[in-house]
Amino acid sequence: MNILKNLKTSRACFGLGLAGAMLCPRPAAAEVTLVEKDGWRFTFDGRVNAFLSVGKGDDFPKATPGSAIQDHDVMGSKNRVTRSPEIGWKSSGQEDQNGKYFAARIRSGMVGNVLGFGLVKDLTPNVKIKGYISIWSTVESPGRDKWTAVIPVTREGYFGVTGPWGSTRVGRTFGWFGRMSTEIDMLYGHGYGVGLPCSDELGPACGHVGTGVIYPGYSAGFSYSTPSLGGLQVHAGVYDPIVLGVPQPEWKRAPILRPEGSVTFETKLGATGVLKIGAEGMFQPLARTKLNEVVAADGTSTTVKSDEKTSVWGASGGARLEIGPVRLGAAAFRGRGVGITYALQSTTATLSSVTGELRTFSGFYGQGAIVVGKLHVAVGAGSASADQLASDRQNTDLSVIKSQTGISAALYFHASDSVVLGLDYFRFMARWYGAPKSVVGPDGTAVLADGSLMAGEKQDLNFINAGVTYHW
Amino acid sequence: MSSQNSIQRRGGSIFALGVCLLWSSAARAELTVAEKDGWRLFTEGRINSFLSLGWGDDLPAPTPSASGVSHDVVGEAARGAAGQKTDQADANNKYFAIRGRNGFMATVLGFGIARDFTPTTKVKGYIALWGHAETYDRDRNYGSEFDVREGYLDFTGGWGEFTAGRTLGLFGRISTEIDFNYGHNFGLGYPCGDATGPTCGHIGTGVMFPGFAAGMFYSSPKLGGLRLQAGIFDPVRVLGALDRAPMPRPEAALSFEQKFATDGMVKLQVEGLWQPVSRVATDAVGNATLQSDKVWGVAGGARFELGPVRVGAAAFRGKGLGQYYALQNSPAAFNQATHELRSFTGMYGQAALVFGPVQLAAGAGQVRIDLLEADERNDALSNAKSQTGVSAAVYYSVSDNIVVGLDYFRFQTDWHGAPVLDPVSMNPIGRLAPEKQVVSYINAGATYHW
Repeated sequence: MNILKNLKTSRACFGLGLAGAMLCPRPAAAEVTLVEKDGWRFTFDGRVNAFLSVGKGDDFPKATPGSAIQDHDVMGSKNRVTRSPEIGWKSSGQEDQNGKYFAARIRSGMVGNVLGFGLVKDLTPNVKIKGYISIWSTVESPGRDKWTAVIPVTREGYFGVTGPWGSTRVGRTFGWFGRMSTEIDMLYGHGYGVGLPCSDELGPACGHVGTGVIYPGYSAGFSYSTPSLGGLQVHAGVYDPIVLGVPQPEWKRAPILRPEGSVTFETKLGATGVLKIGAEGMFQPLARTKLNEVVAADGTSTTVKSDEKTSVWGASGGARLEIGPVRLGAAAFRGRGVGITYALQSTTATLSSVTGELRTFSGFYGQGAIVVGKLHVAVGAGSASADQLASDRQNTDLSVIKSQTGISAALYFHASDSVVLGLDYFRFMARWYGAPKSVVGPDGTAVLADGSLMAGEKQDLNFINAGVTYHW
Repeated sequence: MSSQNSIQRRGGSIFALGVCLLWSSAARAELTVAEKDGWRLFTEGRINSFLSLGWGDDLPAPTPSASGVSHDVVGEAARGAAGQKTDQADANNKYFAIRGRNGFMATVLGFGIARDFTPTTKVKGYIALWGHAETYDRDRNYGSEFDVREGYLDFTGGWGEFTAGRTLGLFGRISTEIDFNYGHNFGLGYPCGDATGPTCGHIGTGVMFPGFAAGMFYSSPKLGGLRLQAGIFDPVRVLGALDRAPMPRPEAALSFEQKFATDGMVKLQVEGLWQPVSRVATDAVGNATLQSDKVWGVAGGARFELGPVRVGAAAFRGKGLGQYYALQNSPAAFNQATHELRSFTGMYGQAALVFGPVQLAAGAGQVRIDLLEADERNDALSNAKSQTGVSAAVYYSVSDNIVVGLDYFRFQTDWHGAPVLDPVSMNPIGRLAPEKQVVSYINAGATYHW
């Protein structure tokens, strides 16, 4: 959330409230310092926003007809993780009789309502310690149901020590993998907008996350950042491990902390220019116990347990450039088991529900913006895709997601240093591979035909969002 | 655990109502914590706890039928749909229980930050977290979570006021305002079910609670006491009946408020809401069609103060509203077979006398539910007919911030009774004896507010 502050104090760093202070350099303290006493400094930061969000287009697609016996499943249609970004975009029962979506909601933006509290103290003249907690919530009721409570989320709760030797951070904080792409989206794209609503049920929204931007997410961790050496910094940490599987964890064993790291280089270009390049990575081992039936020579069978291991890994990177009014950013990622929206996300796409194999995902994203005085005009495009597993090409019951693509445009007006009006457009396009063709086998069940695929399902959906943000 | 909690709590008869501090500028105190560089951080909130003793009937069993046809009583399966069902009933289906509870208002922690937007317009951001004193359903395995009931930004100037974000709706405000100001601000009233609070005061027995929703609305400046508020709110689905709610819901309120004499005040207000809802229905041959309907409501009321006297009255009428709050998702709001929306009517009166730190209050109200034609032919269900509340309270303000309260509430629910059908024509020929529930509460506690 401290990035929020960074963004508002530097036109270059406009927007967000997303992650920790490390997302952006801090030319000035951004949070509101309200009390200073006995060496303690109490800070308060946050934002409140609301957007009218209108969506029009296809609701979640139905299976392409033609499967033998019964229709196949379109990935994301069943066992969805509700109230969270998933595969495709499935409304909460808003489709009409033709499968079309048209609906308006009042939603939170890419950053929700945030209350952030910090307490800072100088340990020595050169060393500061800061404790920080941020509480996030949305304006909309979950699932358009007034009865349901809006439960706030403590996305950040950490303390950090900063000195000439670098900085450490301990607690619940933003990860490193995916920061560069998220930073670009926050700073140039959707820090004061909505972009793609992550789900129809509940926000905050996604901006370009899920369509090329990989979001680091929040975890408990310990991290260290070196001091800037001519603009070069190394960041490394270990984070609480994550298990994977939907609807229940399949890879249940995650005994080892997940290392994540980043190398960034940032330098000023002239009086107002900035160049920043970053490369990130993460790795997490996972395991599961399998039950194997062993048949003895006498025909008796016994069940024997065996361990099976895999790992999630990801590599990502990007760069952003600011010269005069121009802002440009580009980022990409690739990794196994990383998911399509945020790192180590359990969705119906992350692993095969049949074999448990982790799928591999790729994403790329480009964002441009022009900042002229109080006006900020932005355009962006990105796409995230999933590789088919060999077993997917044998599974006639499933059409696997192929890609999610987003195209966006936005206009922001900074009415004051704490109030921003926003109008943005987002086009979301999801494509599925199509299920392997099937025929009725001799035993009356569906079997693989010639290995070719049926026509892939597709979904095209457009959103226009208009609203206002008050940040401090 | 959060989502599980939410799901389980849904079925647990909670309404978790309560009232925001929005309108009650007199009672509300923005406590400025710090001011610096044009920013002002303020907080407001309260903590309270009540000893709440209830006795009477638990949800009644269905009236036996001579024909042997069994039926359900609305509220049995869906807690809170009507009456009060608990897990505390004894062998004779009697309820007697004592709990430590929150009051009409929960434990509230609100933070706001304000500054000048222009020389003539102020901007404010405000977020309020509501918590509970009691453990959900007497089960310590449940975490005590906050509910972010408010989270809005607000611009105020000579041109009026614009509010955007999660805030109290406009429909039902005047009845809730009367209950808040004269009835149960520092009390408890009807606990809104046995599982958890905040409680209801007279909500559900004549008071229509607006509920909290994302919205954007404009409030005009007061022109000779006249004020118009109008806006749009995030739509609400009628779950299980009409799940499609594609358009934001317009709500509006027109009020007139005038002070007179040295300590007199009169306020009149009318309110309305309208929301289209629909569902995709499939006919016998599989053709999909759109079945559309509309939730609508009108409400109004007045309150009057002169010297020590406080008097308020309000009423509402609408289709698909529910008994407790506007667009309440409850099987009482619609016929589960035909998905037709039922109509609701509420009326409420409240009086109080204020002598220095002492406030005496008494109130009564009722909400009635119309039967649909389809209900008249459904011998498997006894629908709710009405919920009635009678209350009395005494409050003593020990200081500006501490109030002790003692209040009584009698909650009565009446059902229509299941129809009796002619076995040949299947036309209604009578009705079984209606079920009835009466439960009383005495609540005593203290509130610290700032």
